[in-house]
Amino acid sequence: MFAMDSNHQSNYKLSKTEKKFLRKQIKARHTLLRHEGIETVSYATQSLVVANGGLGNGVSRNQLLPVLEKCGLVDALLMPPNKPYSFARYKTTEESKRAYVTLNGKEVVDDLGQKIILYLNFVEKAQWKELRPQALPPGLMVVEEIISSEEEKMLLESVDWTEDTDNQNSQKSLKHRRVKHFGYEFHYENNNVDKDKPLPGGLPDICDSFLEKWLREGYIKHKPDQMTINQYEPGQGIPAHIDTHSAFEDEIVSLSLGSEIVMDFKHPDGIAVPVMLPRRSLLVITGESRYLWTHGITCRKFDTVQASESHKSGIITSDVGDLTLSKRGLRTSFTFRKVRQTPCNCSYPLVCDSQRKETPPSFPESDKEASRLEQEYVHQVYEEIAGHFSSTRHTPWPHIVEFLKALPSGSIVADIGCGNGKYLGINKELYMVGCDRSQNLVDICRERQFQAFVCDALAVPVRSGSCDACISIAVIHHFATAERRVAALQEIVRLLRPGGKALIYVWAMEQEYNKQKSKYLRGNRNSQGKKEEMNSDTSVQRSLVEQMPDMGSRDSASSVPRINDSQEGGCNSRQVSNSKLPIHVNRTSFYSQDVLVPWHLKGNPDKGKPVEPFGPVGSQDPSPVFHRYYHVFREGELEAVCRTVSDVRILQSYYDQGNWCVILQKA
Amino acid sequence: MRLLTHNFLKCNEENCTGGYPLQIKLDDTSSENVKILEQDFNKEFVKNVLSKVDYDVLYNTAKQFGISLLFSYTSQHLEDEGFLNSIHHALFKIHIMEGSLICPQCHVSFPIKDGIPNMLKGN
Repeated sequence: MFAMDSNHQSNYKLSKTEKKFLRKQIKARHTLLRHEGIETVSYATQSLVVANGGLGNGVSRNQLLPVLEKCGLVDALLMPPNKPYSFARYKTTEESKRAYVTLNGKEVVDDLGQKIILYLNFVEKAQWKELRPQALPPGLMVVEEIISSEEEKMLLESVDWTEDTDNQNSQKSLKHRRVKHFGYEFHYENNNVDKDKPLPGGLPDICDSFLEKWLREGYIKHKPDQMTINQYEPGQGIPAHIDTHSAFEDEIVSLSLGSEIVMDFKHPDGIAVPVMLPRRSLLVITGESRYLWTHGITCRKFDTVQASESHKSGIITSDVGDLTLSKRGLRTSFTFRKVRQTPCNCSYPLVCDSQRKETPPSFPESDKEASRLEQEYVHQVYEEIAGHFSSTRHTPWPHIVEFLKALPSGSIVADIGCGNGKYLGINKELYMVGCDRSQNLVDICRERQFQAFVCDALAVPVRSGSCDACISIAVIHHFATAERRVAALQEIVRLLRPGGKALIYVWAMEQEYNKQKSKYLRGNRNSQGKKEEMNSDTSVQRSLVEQMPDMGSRDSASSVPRINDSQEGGCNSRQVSNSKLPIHVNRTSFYSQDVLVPWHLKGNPDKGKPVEPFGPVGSQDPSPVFHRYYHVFREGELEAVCRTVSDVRILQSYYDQGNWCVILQKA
Repeated sequence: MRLLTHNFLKCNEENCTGGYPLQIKLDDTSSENVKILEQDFNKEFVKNVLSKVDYDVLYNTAKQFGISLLFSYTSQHLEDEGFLNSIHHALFKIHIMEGSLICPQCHVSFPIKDGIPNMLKGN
């Protein structure tokens, strides 16, 4: 069906290389089907899918198109963003056949200069369904060429980065973007300014003329009194965030110098809009785009942009027939804001720090309070952090794998609180269905082609006695009362058929057991740094066929060292009614069973993408902090909960890397 | 959502008894509300799974999608590849992508978007 080389005397016996190639081609076919739902066909058509030839693995349009055109007239080349494959449609089947024969196994070079091998397969049709809104976030505008090249040069040269040598050193070694503040110091610990301590000197004089001009011409309505200069080297970015409502007034403007870039805007409903900011343009965000949408810049060296007229500002086209990669350059932004002197009174109270309830949460005293606590400190948090969370949950734990692999073929297994679906594909002999409370996490399961649905673990919509087994890993500890934890376990037991088994994991209060510290306690800055080394610039998914290397096992419940965690709340050694929930300090022992555990959001929270580093700590790191509620279990407590449920027998009870675990069986 | 998954789902509204099986309603405005996706055939796996499904429900649901399964089967059929293939097709290859699941008892409706049912109560 294909010819690797001209040595065709081996009609009936393939050489080693031919066999290897064939295996890889079949693997590509399977991966495309399993992970992307793309069906290949075994007969020749005009259209081909080119595995390993995608924007997602660093192959740009102007690299791939000439290669394809050598075989004939290319009607269309569709390159979906962030995918490690493309679709090519030739004018005739003859030409696509020629491509299939000559280009299969062809070596090309990607954006990093690495060799990649293309694998081609026929598809029925070359098409791509892309849903993208065509509107900019409300209140956003980009003014192109607002300054001249000379003015751009002058502004860039006016910035003196040498002043702060401490910052210099830390930033260079951490590969972290550089920042300077004028007017008021911006504090990243609380993402706010100190309004009582304005910086001497105010804004630099050269900015005056521009600001006056922009005011006169109506691009801005208020004169700013705070400025932040950010410098991004290719590969650097800033996590998605909303500028703190109480810190700054409505209008925020940002001048882009040195290089164009794509900035990602995201609405809480999940709508994502990538916006091109050309050089010498002014980005103005007001109203909804300032108060409700988050904005961020992904850490990567290439942006996906429109192939035709690539420097045009505005939304990046969703037409995959017109996308390519654009290499980033050194970009400096001058962001101007006006400091608020009164609390914010915007129309978006849910995301407004002035208007949101300021009182810290306390230990719940009723089922209703518990439900509200879980809503704010579990459900909402997981929706926000889903992408990043998923990227830190990639190594399946051995004992859980063992449990799943021991189940007989054809077992129906439910994963209650399946998260990103980590365990749903472990044993192909099982039929596993996952459910989770977080839509965003279930969406990741869907992307991985697993069966999953969204539901609450207290009301699982599955018939009683229908499951051969259940697993519930790191879930029950998120329920805020003993009654609710028991109820969750009862649901799991209800699903089991007589004789069915369940495996439950919960976070242990005892993080040091048998004189051994758990991975959670042992994990330190160094290992975080190492992970970041491997991760730098892996915002792009690499080749379809050669899978990504495993990122190491940083898998305990929380991921990163703390940044100046608020110490308020203190350490209660036993829970007392009406007490405030303490905020736990990551990577230390627990002093209270009911705690809020910080999660430092890193990277652009796009689902399924590997985490991108921002440099571990330091006051320059503006990563948002989320608090998740946990009830950590004492030794024996999980067993006691199991014993309150009728018709169950505990088969095994053990401690595994900072978790209490139980295998139970229904009578 | 595969028909096999559907076979296990029931209504979870409080005080709703008998909310099984959920009725599948396809979204007519969607161009691809059902997909047929390939799946490797594993004879033992199909047999094992078949023993756990509610066959009547499977039969009726498959009919809705144009699949005529045998009304009932015996142990002899379990060795018939033709029969097993039809079961395999019905259980694994049909994917409901856009629509809703409706409780026959309390009539609450759960949406299915991109193959994912959202069964949060009060949805």
